[in-house]
Amino acid sequence: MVAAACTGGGTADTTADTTGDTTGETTEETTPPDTGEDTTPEDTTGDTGGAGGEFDTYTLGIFQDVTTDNAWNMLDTAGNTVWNSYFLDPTTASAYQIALPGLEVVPELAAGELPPVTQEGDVWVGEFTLRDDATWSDGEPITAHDVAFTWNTAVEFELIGNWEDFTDTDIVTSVEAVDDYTVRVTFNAEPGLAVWGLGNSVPLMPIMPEHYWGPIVEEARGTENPRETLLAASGAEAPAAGPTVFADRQEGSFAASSANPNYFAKGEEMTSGDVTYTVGPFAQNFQFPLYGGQDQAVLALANGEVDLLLNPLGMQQGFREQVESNPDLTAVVNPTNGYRFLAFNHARAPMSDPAFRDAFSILINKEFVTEQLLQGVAFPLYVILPEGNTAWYNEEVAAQIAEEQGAGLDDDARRAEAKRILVEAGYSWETEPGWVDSDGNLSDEPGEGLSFQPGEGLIDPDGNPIESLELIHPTAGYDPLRATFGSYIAGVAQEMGIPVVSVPTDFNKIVADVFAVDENNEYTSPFDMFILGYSLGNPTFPTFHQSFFGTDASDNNTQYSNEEFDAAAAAFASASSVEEAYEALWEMERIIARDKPHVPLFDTGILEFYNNRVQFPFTETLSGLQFGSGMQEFVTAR
Amino acid sequence: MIRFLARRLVQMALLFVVFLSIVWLLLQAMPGDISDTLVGNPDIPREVRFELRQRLGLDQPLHIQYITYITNFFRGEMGVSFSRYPADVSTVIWQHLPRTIVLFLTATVFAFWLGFKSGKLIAWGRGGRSEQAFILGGVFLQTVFYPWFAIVMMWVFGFYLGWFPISRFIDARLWQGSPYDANDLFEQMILSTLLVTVVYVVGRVLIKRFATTVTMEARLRQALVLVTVGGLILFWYLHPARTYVADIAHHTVLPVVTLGLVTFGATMLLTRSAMLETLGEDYILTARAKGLPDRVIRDRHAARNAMLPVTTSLVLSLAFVIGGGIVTESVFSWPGTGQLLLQAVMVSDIPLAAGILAVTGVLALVGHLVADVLYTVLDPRIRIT
Amino acid sequence: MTISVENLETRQVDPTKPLLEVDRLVMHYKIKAGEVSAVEDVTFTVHQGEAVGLVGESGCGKTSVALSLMRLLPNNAEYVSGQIRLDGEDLLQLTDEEMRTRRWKDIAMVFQGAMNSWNPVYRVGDQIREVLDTHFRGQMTYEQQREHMERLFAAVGLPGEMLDRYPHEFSGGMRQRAVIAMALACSPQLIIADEPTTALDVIVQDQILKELKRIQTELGMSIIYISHDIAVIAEVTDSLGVMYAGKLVEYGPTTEVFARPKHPYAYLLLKSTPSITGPRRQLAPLEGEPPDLLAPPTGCRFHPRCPFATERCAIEEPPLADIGGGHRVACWHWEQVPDLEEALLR
Ligand SMILES: Nc1ncnc2c1ncn2[C@@H]1O[C@H](COP(=O)(O)OP(=O)(O)O)[C@@H](O)[C@H]1O
Ligand SMILES: [Mg+2]
Repeated sequence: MVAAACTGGGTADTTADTTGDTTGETTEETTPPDTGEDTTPEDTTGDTGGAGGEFDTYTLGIFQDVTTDNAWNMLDTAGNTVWNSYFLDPTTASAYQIALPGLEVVPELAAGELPPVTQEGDVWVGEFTLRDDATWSDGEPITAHDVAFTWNTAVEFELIGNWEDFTDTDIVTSVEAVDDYTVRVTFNAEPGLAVWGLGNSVPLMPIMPEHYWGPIVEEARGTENPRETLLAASGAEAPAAGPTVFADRQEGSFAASSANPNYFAKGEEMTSGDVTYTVGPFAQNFQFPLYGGQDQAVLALANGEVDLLLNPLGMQQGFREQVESNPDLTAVVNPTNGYRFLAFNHARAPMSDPAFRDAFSILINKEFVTEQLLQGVAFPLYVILPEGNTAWYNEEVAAQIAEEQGAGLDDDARRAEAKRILVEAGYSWETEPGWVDSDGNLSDEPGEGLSFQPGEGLIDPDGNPIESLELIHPTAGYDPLRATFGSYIAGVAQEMGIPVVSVPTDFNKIVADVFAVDENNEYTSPFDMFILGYSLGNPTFPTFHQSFFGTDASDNNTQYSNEEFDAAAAAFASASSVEEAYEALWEMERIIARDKPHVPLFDTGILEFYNNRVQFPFTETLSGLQFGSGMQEFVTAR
Repeated sequence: MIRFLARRLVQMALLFVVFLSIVWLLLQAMPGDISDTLVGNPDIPREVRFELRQRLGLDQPLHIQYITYITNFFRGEMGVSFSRYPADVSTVIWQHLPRTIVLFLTATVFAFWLGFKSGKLIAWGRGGRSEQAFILGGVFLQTVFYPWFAIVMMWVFGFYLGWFPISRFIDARLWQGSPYDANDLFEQMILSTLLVTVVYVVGRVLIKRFATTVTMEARLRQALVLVTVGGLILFWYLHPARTYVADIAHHTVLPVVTLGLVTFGATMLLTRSAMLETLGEDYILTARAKGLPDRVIRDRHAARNAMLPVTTSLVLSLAFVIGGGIVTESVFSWPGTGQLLLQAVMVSDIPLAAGILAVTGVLALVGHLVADVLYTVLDPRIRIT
Repeated sequence: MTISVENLETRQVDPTKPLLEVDRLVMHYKIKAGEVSAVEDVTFTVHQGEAVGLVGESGCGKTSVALSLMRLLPNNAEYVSGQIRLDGEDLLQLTDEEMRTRRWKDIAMVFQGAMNSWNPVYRVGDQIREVLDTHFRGQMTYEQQREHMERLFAAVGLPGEMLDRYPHEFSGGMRQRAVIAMALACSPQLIIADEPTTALDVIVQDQILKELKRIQTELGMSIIYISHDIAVIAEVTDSLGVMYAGKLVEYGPTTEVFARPKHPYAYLLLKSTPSITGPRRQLAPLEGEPPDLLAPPTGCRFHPRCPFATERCAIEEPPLADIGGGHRVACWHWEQVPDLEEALLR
């Protein structure tokens, strides 16, 4: 079997064996894979013939219904489910796309690299050209008018969800077709890579066929609720630009698409990371049967009824042995595009004190929990950016941060360090923790013949005893991994006299609580500490640092605010070169590691199974095969 | 009778309002709302969540939301599903309901029928080896951990023996590109069965009315069964969507049998004990003294009276079809209302969840009414006033 | 109330001809603890047109005898020996199916629990029709059946419309009348009436018994009345048997047995029963309880309760000996019985 952790280029020593997941379905990462990751070749004309491996039907098991055939809806909010995107995303194409497994942004419908923007008076202008040989599945040419139509419709109809991410209306003021193949984008400020290059923006926006949607949009405009009307319209007959075309859908049972007979990239060569492969699609049909649970899906896989199981959370560890012992099946593990963390409320004492956070987090022996308590199904994290994101990962800085954050220290060293930090910051105890010898003399350092004596009643620098603190985390029933971490952390903190209680809490309640807002939509942050996990969105231009930690940013519920960080985030967002962005990104990682709005705890990896009937040019890829919607455009028969 | 029905309907309506309010409030009391599903996704800005809440009216005060919901509900609008926006709740439920009805009606009817028959037979032929086996089996089925049992059934018959499809209600390969909509066929299946049932019942009444001798009555009844069942089979045999219907039927077997077995076990045990009770009644001895054949005594006298408790349990179980199906529907990937409810609750799709529970509530209330009316038919001693 | 048996078939009766002969019948119930000797060596004959009574305290085996005759005993019952001949044919030799067709057609039965003899969920008429369907299958149309049933109802004084009613709409007495009507449905040769009026109030009891008697004589049927109340059935029977602990201890013409009981048990039983119809009698106590038939007393089964009991009674079982005039009694001391009254009065 192939057990992939992450691809070459500067990854750490994460092996497949440490990246299992016992409870795949118990994490809350709900982000669908990004749009536009159809892996199609650059603007080269490859040899079309003889790729081999053609087959009739590629079957991809899913676990929830495909609820729409409308790509507008798929990228808005209600239709924005991973299941819809597995199915519909490959029917779409954009000017540029994310190549797998290397996560580079490469031309898809565009002819050539993205040219730099130019300043024209007050505004900046960017242009890209579409290839002139690409057609929709119905044979109509794909043109710049389609791009302009898509952007203008999304803006006019106030589509939300991913559309807001693609339209970037705060900086993009217009998208026009200069001629049939040239798209002109106007900005009100100089765009960084986030908008012009790597991030989700116009170049990565899926393009919708104007000749199909135009009349529907026209009609919707006149209705009471145009957005609703557009999203509810049928896209079953819509022509596709991507490798597949919608074929059929029986809600509650399956969805099906077929190969796009006019797919412009068919037969082209693609190089990404260190892999080169031919673009298909090689299957004639794509079927997405729905399964009610993993048990039956794995049976169906063994039965040969289905080729690959798609699940954003991966498959449960419990099936792994069964799959590995079956010669017809393969199990692969990949790092997830997400992380699980401990969050501090920066607006409440004592969490607002950096020394307290440092002392608190140094106590957490992540290696001990992942290896001893969790038996290697998880691996410890020190930085947020996943090492599977080979394009952005910096092994050196990551290792440095890990060391600064006490990776590899033993428990006594951690306690001694925590005590040192707390004492230095002016904290004291009712009963001081420390190491005692046989005569009862207390020492600050461990040593021969000394035994650790837990402390009690931490007192803050002002001399006030610290009131009991709550650490809320998911219940063991929901996620045993985070529950284990939660009770472990409370335990080690209590030993040091920090009055923390671990409160296992219903997952929905944690989310509702930690994201509670007041009437002005400001986070009220009614918590001390919590443990959750987030997914990280577009890996080619990871903007999550800003979303999670920027002052007043959309997911920043820890009340963390640091100008230094905001500056780095701004530098990242406005970076015009990858190098600049890279610098800024790792600057942010360093600041986060130091300031600790989140303390990264661990990741588990995503476990997936497929039937050897099919084969993939690579299986080592961030967030697994599901991230590429099952690689519909280049999977082949074995 | 009319007055009784009128009064009951008023009572039911009031009860229903209370029920609906409680359901709605309980759903509201669940932590979080639908916008939380967008949390922690760095590609979706916070504003989207606020916007979403605004558009769905979730930013309104609770009592306003409540009043809006209830008034709309009684205007026949169950609202728009949050998670399947912009689809109507009623559309979504209506899409799933036929599948649940087919699954459960078949399972329940067969299970009760067979359970009743075998419960009757084992109670009648007391003390045999087979009675022991049936009781053991019945107790097993009644107490077995159902999700486990369902998976075992699927493993044995779906995977190991390969007799039945593992999951879902149609074969994607067959159906892809088919001109039929599975839901339409489901509806047709339900309607045709309903029609046949009505014809059968009317036929029975007519026969009772016009037959002049017992033998004639028996002949006519046989003919009626032949005509109705035969007609139904012939109709589907000649139906252009025959292969598709056969496919649905093939997929239905395993979930129906699995679900049915459990109901079967319970019904069998219930029938057996009810039957043993009636067998001790004096009128059974009278029936034997009258020289009636055993079969007549068993079926007409003993079993008929044992039917009362079984009927209650049947009617009530039919009413809880929707919610009770969650496990079966999950295990067999059967996209019915049970699964729908589960998903709706998980993402705080309050209108959808409330809609499904409301339908369940209506069914439960109607079920009770039907049970009460049925009682008066089954037991003339019971009067409704 | 119009009572009319005119339209029912009447039978020619030869009172010398035996109809039912119960010959040394022994029947036991098997239970975990052993065998219950419920019917022990019972012999008696019912002649054509004759009314025979069986009396005894409850638990003495009367119902067991009745059910034995119909072969309606529960599964744990076992015929040990003896014969039950109907018109000379041993019923115990018939197959189950043959026996089934005889029931009701030849021997009908009126049970003690009139209330509960009717299945509550069917109309009374339908329950009678069931008998006709079974025993005259294909021979009667629904219309003919209806006519016949109306005649039957008329015979017991019930209006024909009542056929369409449910049992719970009948009073207790009406229900029992309806049972009698049903018993007549196939004009059986013999009706067994097991405590037919026990649950009814006294006036109704009397009425019904009299009607039954009249119908029986007019139609020329034979009947076996079973009761724990000797006074009640003395009036309507020709012969009377007294049962004690599974045994027939005295049997003879009713007038004889009733006026001059010879068995101490019969005597005491008679004395202990109040009667509103018979001559006022001094009540005398019948102390104790009938024995447990799992382990009945040795010798005469009555000896533990008998004022005349001697050593012999405990060892040797008295035979049912004829003391003249068809009066049979099973007691070593029957001649002393007339003295009993004096003894008791003292
Ligand atoms: N099915 C049975 N199994 C065991 N014993 C029984 C059964 N039926 C009756 N008996 C016993 O047989 C005896 C006679 O009962 P029964 O014929 O009902 O008397 P009676 O009709 O005179 O009251 C009683 O001791 C009674 O307990
Ligand atoms: Mg009795």
